[in-house]
Amino acid sequence: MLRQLLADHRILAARKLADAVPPDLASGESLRRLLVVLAPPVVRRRTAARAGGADNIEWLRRHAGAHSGKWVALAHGELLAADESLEALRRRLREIAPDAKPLLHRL
Amino acid sequence: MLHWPDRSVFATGGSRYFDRDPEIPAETASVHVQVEFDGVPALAMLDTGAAWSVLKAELAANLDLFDRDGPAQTISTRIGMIQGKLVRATTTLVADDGDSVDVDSTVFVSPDWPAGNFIGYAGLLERIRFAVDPGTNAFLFGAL
Repeated sequence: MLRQLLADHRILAARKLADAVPPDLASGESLRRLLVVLAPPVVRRRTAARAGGADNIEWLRRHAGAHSGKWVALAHGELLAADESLEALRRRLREIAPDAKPLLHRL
Repeated sequence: MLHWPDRSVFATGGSRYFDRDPEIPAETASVHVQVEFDGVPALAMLDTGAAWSVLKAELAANLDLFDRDGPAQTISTRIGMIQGKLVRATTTLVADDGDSVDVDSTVFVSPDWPAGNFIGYAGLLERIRFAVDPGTNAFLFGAL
């Protein structure tokens, strides 16, 4: 029943049913998986703003067309690296070791 | 950052968004906000009509999300039915100003998903207040 509601994207009905599951029945692995993903989102914490985000968006507005089909890594409005493969791009970033976490986006 | 008329807080963070994506052909502009999925910065299209948030397949694979425990799920999209799974992941709405917000969220991942990242309503936006200013490409948000 719970699985069917989820398959039908009746998420609120599925959550209502999930809330009614007695704790002693919720120990089964299959049911436990469903209950985990049906749990409402939880705001865990607030963290500081990240510098350079707006500059990265400005870079995309100006230069996205020149890197079509590639993954790009941007930090503080500058292109750090580009590659057709995300895995290769992340490998390259480990070598560069930038001081800020770069934005990764495929163009 | 943004307040209700009674001066109570509506949004505590704000960021600039990208309004087009070459990967998603569309005649109208769309809203691609700055996020992090499990700590990896990315852009994701805001889609309040989407049942779940969806991660680009290559990114999901890189974050090992296909290996994460979660029930199988099929979603109906404009390009047909896509089979994948629902998993729990930390999605951060990244602020340029004010506070970023970490959300323990449910996202859909599939190796067959051919499009980009989406931020959907269930499992994520349902616990977030947000507003968009198309004049300045500003996305304002805060936790409920």
